[in-house]
Amino acid sequence: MSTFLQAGANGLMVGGIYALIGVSLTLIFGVMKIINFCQGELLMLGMYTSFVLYDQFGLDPFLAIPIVAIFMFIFGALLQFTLITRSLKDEDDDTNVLFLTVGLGILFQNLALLYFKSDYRTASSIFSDKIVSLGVITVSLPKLVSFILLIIVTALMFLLLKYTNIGKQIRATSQNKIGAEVSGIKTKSIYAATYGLGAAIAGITGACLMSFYYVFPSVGEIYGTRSFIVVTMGGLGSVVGALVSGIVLGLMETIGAVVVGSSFKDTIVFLTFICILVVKQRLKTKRG
Amino acid sequence: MKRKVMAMVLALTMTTGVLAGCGGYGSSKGSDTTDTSTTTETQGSDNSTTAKTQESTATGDPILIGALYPLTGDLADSGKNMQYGIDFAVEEINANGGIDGRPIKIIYGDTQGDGAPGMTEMERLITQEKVVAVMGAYQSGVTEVVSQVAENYQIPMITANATADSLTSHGYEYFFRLAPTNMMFIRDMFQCLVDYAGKHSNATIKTVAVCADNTELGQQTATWAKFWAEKNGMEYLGDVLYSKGAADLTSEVLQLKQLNPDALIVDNYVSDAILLTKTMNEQGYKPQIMIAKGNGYSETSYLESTGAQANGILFATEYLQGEKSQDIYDRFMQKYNVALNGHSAEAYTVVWIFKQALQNLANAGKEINSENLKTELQTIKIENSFEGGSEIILPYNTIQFTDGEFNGIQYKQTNMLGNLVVAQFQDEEIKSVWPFDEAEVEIQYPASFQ
Repeated sequence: MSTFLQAGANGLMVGGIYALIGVSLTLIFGVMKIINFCQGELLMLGMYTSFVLYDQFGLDPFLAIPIVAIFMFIFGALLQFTLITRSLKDEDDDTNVLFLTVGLGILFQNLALLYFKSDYRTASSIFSDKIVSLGVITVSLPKLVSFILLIIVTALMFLLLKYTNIGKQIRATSQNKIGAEVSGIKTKSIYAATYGLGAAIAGITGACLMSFYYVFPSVGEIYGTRSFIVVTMGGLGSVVGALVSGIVLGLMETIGAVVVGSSFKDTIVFLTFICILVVKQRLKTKRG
Repeated sequence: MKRKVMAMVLALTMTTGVLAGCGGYGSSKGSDTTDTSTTTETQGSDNSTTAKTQESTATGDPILIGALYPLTGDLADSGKNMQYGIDFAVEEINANGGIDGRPIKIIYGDTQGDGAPGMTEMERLITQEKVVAVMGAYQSGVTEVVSQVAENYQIPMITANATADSLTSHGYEYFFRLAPTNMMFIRDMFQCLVDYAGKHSNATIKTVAVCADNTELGQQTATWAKFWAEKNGMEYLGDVLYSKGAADLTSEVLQLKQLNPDALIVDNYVSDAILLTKTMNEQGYKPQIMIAKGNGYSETSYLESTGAQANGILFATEYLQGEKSQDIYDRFMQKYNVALNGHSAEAYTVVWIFKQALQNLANAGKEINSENLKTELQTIKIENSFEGGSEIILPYNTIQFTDGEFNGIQYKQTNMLGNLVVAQFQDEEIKSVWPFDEAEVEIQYPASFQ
């Protein structure tokens, strides 16, 4: 029983990270309908930013979060403004952006490889290697702090989208771009801001991850695929959905590994994912 | 139009901004100057190497040997290390007159860490560069496919590093292996445990479990661990296999905790090794003894990332500093600013094996060609040291490619006399602990992990 409880706690913590990267993607993919295949690489860039801050200035990954977030916001907004918006077509044709983001992903990975080499690099935080025990359960402190940050970020995003002016503009642009433009919304700036936000959250995730994981140029691949699962399971554009499905994914992995064995961990995840996709589509067509 | 131009300019500034710093991030290994100098040699261009040979005493017609390693991609760093080992040996050999005045020249091929480009490069080395023999590749999977190409073209090939047992089971005539195989790795890891338990009554090692990734290599580790556990009268409690490149290993550690073996046998790539060590610490799992197949644990970034948490972990490896020829280690360190490790020491040794074989041919008045070289390699026996060179720096004193069979697996032209050394992390340093008569320090038992 204690094993299950422990596996559950671990699942929550891992799921937290999946959820956070999911929230970042849901803004870009879900809200702006940009199929962003370089989300994992944005995470990687966030991790390296945090690593460089640690390595050069001894900045704790958690304290570096504001800097990483601002840097990634600017980077993301610039990326959207210069390249992605220009490759977007007015019709519902996503192929351009799809290829563009795949290409960017490869570019970022190789630049990181060139500059940082393929070494594994870590940064330590004041919370690193500290453990919190709650009865039979032990949880590592950096993971717990990351989890709390996740809740805060998700809540902020939810409130931002729901109640603020810019949030309303984002949703309006997402629903109908032409309509939004007619009502005087500067959709180009909204696109840039949203992509920037998504990149910033990916950066925050990266800084959190840096406190207990390691960074290497292709680290994005591990999290990139999972972020798509999270967003699709949680419903496009739903921040709360991403939160829930991220945690569910984490729980499935850890508890599944204990029940049926580690080798089948991914099998369980992807089987469930396929089932959810099919069932969702079924329900949709039934409703008409 | 104006906008387009602006977009281009912005995009360019973004990329160049990043590229501007491309001297490489303050890497712990090697200075940038040595990096670039070897890259030029890598291109296989005639200029650099000939320039080098002109300085040395060997000035005759060069003897070409191909070397296939991952020089770009994720494994480029490991590839570079082996390249250093090779260049180091070549320099020594040519400075001492090469083979009767003929220098050895290495033509590099880049596998990119993958089989398909590896095969293309192998064909290039053989058909265009016309090398007399080949060495490589780093990974077992790549070696498997390129060795077939060498066999087809009847070009002798020695692998310095590939450990998968099956590589030498195909009956290839032209393929030789220096590296100890997986079987030998696990054999020596168990022998270390058995020896320790035999010597110290406080250590009880009756049960073992394995944690490895579910690649072919990881599964082989599990299979051999089961075999050697039974041979040594230990109980095999089971294995925990996970997908390579894991995002999280907490469940795996929980399963190991439940199995609770006396000794934990592991085989992980460096990223997973770091994660496993950290997760074990986080979950408070401290097996009495933990022994790893070199693999990720012998890489510098492992110890850098885990620090004191690695203390007490044992690992089997192909070479350890200080065991023999400290002088070579020091000169290597001075030249490349990186440590000579198991893989570069093996690559270094293979060049010397080629040298010795070629020298034997020359001494016997035979023509230097692939066929004669193959025959020579089949019969060569090197004991203690190379003619005109140093002693064998690896932990064994005899190199001979013989045929053998073990537990139903054929080993053709393999250095069956090879063995490993075991080291332990103590006070965040690597100390040799087994075989006992050559050990620097005693094994720390139980492992502290702090």
